[in-house]
Amino acid sequence: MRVFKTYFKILKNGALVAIIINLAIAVLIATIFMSIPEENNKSFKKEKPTITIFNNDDSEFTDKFLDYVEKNTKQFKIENNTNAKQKALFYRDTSCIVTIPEGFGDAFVSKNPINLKLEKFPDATNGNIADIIINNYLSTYNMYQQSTNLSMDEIIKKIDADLSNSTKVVLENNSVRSHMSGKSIFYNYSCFIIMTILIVSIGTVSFSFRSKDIKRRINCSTMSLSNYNMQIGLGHFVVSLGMFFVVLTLGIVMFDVNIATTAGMLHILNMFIFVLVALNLAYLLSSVVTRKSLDAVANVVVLGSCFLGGSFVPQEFLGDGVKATAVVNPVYWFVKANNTVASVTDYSFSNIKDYYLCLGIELLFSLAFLTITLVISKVKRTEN
Amino acid sequence: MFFRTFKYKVMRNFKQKQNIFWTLFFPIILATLFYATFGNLQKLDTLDGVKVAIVDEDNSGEHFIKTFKDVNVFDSTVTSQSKADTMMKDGKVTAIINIKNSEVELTIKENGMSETIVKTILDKISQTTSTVTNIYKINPTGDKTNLNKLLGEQQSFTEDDIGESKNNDPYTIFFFALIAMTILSASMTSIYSVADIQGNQTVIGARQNIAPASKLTLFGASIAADMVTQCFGTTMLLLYIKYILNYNIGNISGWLLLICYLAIFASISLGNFVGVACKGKIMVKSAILNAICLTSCGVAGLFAAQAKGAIENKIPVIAYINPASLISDGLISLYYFDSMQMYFTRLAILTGAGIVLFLTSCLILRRQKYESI
Repeated sequence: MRVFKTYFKILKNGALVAIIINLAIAVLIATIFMSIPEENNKSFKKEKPTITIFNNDDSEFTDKFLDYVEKNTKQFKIENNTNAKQKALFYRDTSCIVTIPEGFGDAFVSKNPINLKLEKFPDATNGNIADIIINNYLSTYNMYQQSTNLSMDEIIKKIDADLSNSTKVVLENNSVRSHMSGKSIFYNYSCFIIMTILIVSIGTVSFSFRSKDIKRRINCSTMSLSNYNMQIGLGHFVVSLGMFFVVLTLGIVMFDVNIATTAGMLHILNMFIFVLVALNLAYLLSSVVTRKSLDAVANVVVLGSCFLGGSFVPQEFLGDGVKATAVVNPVYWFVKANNTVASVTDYSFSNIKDYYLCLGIELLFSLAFLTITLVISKVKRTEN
Repeated sequence: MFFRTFKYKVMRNFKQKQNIFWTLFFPIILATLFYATFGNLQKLDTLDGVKVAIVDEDNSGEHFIKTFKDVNVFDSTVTSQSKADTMMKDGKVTAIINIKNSEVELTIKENGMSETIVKTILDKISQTTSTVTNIYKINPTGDKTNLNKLLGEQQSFTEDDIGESKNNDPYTIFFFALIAMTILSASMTSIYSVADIQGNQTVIGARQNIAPASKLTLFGASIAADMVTQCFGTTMLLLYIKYILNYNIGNISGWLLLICYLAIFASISLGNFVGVACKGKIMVKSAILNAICLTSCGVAGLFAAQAKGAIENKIPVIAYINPASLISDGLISLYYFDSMQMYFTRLAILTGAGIVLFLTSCLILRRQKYESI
């Protein structure tokens, strides 16, 4: 198994540093994804907008008003200066900055309301929800005030009762999973790590074995071509398997991936199939490009397919033109399979048949890449 | 000697295909991919993107449907239960509103902001109904002209303090991080340039060490040539994003070009410093710089825009020491902030860092001799 041993010597000397760097970057990015929580609720959870309140008024009405607002929103504290406000709004740390002027409460109760100053972007959804919450309370108070003779305390009691009315929410499958959680994002992002590292490793080794002098010496040797190819193929497979286990370990350690659950097993199966796709893609790229251009081509292919396939941005946000490229993009089907599993809780065949369809398409991509590579190798061998 | 070296170095930079790819074409390809994936996202952060199906099979919700459509916020369709279920499964609607015996029920598939918006509006309708009912109970015979007027008009007790014209697209963080990555990649090129001055790194370095030309002249010419190449690549990228992709990253003014070009100088100085300070082969130094650049850009929001704000909130000093954050903050300052304070602070730090690293590299290279190569 001399060729097999040499394979790993070349990998160690030629690609180890690049593999380590790529893994380090993967861990860094995975750390960012860890902050996004897993969702698996049995009930609807209302998203509360994050707002910042600067209160310059000291009245009972304002205190009651703020109790309601704080119960229905999340608060983010910042310094009261222009720079801090602009920074918080731009990075969406807060969706809305409310400034309550002095005398607001007394003016409102005496039917001469002063408007609240709201700093938010006109088209931002979170900011608009905060606006609705604020105006809901104030307009309800105003309606009671204009149409009845109730005192402030009585009106506030009525408002508390009215605003506790809530529409009944039913979940489609009796529970909710989201494919936007940190764990799901990690599964989708894992294709980037797998493709990058496999292309670097397999490319480095393939180019070393494919140099003219080495090839001629091997052809003259006593080792049969089939034995030689078998050892190279085994080396590729072992590297791919190693890569698969490294990514899986990353998932288990950092994202608590549970291989004992059905969802976990389905995700892992999808990842394994994709490793085969990436292996054959790496083999194809190393057959068609030169050594010097491998890095460049690999980066373009990997980043292009990951961006356009929905690995970095959720697929539902991609434009129709981008989705049209899915026909030639195996990452799209890998991500779609992951999203199908992540958004359901019932894993019966009929409920996730899209998942199996995506696996089938990935296997076809794998076969297509392998076929093209073999044809190109045959043509090159015949030409030589 | 300076201009001769400068001329041939510039020619060499522009003739090396790899160099041109990484400096010019790769950032443009990445910008195109960013535009294809992120270009649509800002428009989706609006209420226009929310579609709802309404099912009213016993026709008891006529009044509700009219009130809901009067809100004029969602794209709603009245349809049958089976069609509504199919539309939700295919992702064509965010939620289904079921009306049975005048009771309203909301069906959703997952938790999210769109679902929250629909629930908020439905709650508002039901709460207003409860308020009006209570007012009629408290004051059944009173004059309702005022109440009807208040119901008819959209009451608002808030005033918008920002206005519509402000640039506010948070996804520009990705583009600014990309520009920062392009600028930082200048450090990778300068590693090879400084290797041409070191006798123990390259054959050219060995020749240059025994040549009668001043090392500072050769070094300066090399840096100037790298500056020209990188400034050209960065300018092309800015023009491409602004005028070809037509994505708003602010005006390409003198201030923007100034911070980019000074950042390129700092980046080249960083590459030179790593090249002269670290012992070992070029590949190792290149790998170290690659790791620094990618980590720096990752923290500045290249992989996840929200990461930048989140990390800087937890560790504020990062904004002052991370090169990519310094560059992208300077660009964001011109794009969005009213005050130029952040811009000038970042500009000063980048310039200072560039000068310090350049002078340190000169000190280390100065009188460097080799006993045997």
